[in-house]
Amino acid sequence: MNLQVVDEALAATREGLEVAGFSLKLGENNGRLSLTIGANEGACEECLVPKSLFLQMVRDEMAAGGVKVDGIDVVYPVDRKAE
Amino acid sequence: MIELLDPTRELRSGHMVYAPRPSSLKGKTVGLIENTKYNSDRLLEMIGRILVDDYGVANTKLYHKRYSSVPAHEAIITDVRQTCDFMIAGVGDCGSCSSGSVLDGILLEKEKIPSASIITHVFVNTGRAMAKQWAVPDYKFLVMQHPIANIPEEELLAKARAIVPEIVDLLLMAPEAKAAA
Amino acid sequence: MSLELLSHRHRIADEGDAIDYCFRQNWSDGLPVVPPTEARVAAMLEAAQLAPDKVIGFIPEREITITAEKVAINAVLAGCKPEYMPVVVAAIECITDPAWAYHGPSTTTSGPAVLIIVNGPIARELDINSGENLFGPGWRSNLTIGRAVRLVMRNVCGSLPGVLDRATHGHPGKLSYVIAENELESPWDPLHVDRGFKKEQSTVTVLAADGPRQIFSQLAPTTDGVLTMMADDMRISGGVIGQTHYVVLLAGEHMEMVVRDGWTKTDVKRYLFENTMNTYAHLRRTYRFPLPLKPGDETRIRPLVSNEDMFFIIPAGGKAGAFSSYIPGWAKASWSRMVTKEIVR
Repeated sequence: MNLQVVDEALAATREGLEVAGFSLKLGENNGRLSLTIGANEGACEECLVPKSLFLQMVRDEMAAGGVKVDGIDVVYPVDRKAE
Repeated sequence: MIELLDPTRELRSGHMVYAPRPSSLKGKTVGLIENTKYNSDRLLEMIGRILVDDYGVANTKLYHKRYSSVPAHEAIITDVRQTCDFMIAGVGDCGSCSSGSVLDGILLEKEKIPSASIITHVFVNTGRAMAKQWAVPDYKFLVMQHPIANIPEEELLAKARAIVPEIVDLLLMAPEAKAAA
Repeated sequence: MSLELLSHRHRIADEGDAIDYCFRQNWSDGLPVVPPTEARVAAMLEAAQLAPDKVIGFIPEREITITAEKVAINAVLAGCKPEYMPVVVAAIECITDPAWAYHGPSTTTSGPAVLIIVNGPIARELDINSGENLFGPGWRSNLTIGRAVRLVMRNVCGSLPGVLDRATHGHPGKLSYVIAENELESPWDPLHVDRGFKKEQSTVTVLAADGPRQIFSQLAPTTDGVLTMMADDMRISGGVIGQTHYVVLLAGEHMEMVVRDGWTKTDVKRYLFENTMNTYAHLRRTYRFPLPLKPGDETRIRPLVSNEDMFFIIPAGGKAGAFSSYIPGWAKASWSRMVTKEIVR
């Protein structure tokens, strides 16, 4: 998986997150793409869309960018708090 | 705040069916649903003022959503349906509130109220994804430059003036009718 | 195997409003439902060891695919415990089987319900009622399993009243219609063994069916007396359309008589078959068949069912009371067949 290519395809998503005070980190885990969203200070967690919507957006953008990925795992700030 | 999963069969593709539109705004009432984000109310009020002054709208009603990321609650939808001729929702300047405003437009169109939803440009993909989730991938919403939260009054007014013609266009003619014309 | 739940999410600002939200979204059968959160849905899928995107059923006439995820969400709405999920899944597999022919029974003005009969060890494990108050309230398993199936039909398959469900009256079984056979106290092979399964397997059998008709046979001291009364009632129950299935439910006192008198299932079926004949004249005079009378109608005989195996004899119901019931199937047996499938765990 070429994370650079994925990153370019997800530019719009990244911008939307950063504008709302979030960070986006890309990683690979056993052949699956992992997207970790971090909350910067003052970020409004309510501003994050539901995961299903986020996945839809990400898939659409990757399709538009001609990038194919089999599995995508999304980690939200609230998921890490629960650990 | 909780999330419920939809138990119904979800259609992955369809076309937006817009409410029938009158030919003029003159003498009509416009509902403005602001999504609690900073400056949304000011911006919608400015838009409302322009519609009254320049387009003959009789009056405007401002509604405040309780939560930006969910659709306007039942009481608002009922009141708009019963007392307004048009609806403008906005302004979505974050991920979830933009999807919330897009959803307000979709829901009010289903209630036969011609509507216009406004979001900011960095969230176009969010708005589009929300429209797809509701099986209306071609739903038309309006886009203005981000941000609106921390800009001076004059800049806000300029944005309002710039978008009003697009709003009027969308309120008076549904996109599908335009395509056919 | 993707574990991701793909359903659209609805965000509810006020958790206390969730039940009303479900009503407003038209997801309910008229009774309050359990709000389907991700955790509840995931637990349902896990109990049945199913991937969310596994296809449980497909209805060709409507191009509807029913996934495990959607079944799980509706099972949560219904109030099912996670361990009930395999039963619900098997029932959905039955109603989407081409032999059940979904479109007919779900749409028709004659409004049949989905009778669900559970057999095998699972009935006892899940405490599915086979005794007193058989059709009545009190058992979470019976009521929520049936309800889950109906909610899938309404929410996923679109069988909404007034839209694609045009029942004139329908009957209360359309909320939930689930029973288990009383296998422990029966001298006979249970239904699922008759249908080709092993006794230790657990199965679900579905039938598009009318409401139960009860007979009260306090004066009949023997099995043939009870069956004579039942046959008399059944004989005129036949509808205009055709020969269908009949499920016969023999409750406690009557089953004791059956055991004492040494009747086999075949004996019962044969007796009912022979005593539920009608003349064509009678059928025409009562507007079950078209007039006018034809020569020979006074002696020409029509059996209630096409053959004695269309009677399905099932011990079920409470120990006390001289009552048994029969349930006519819908319309014509060939239009929608009884279907049995294994419950997979």
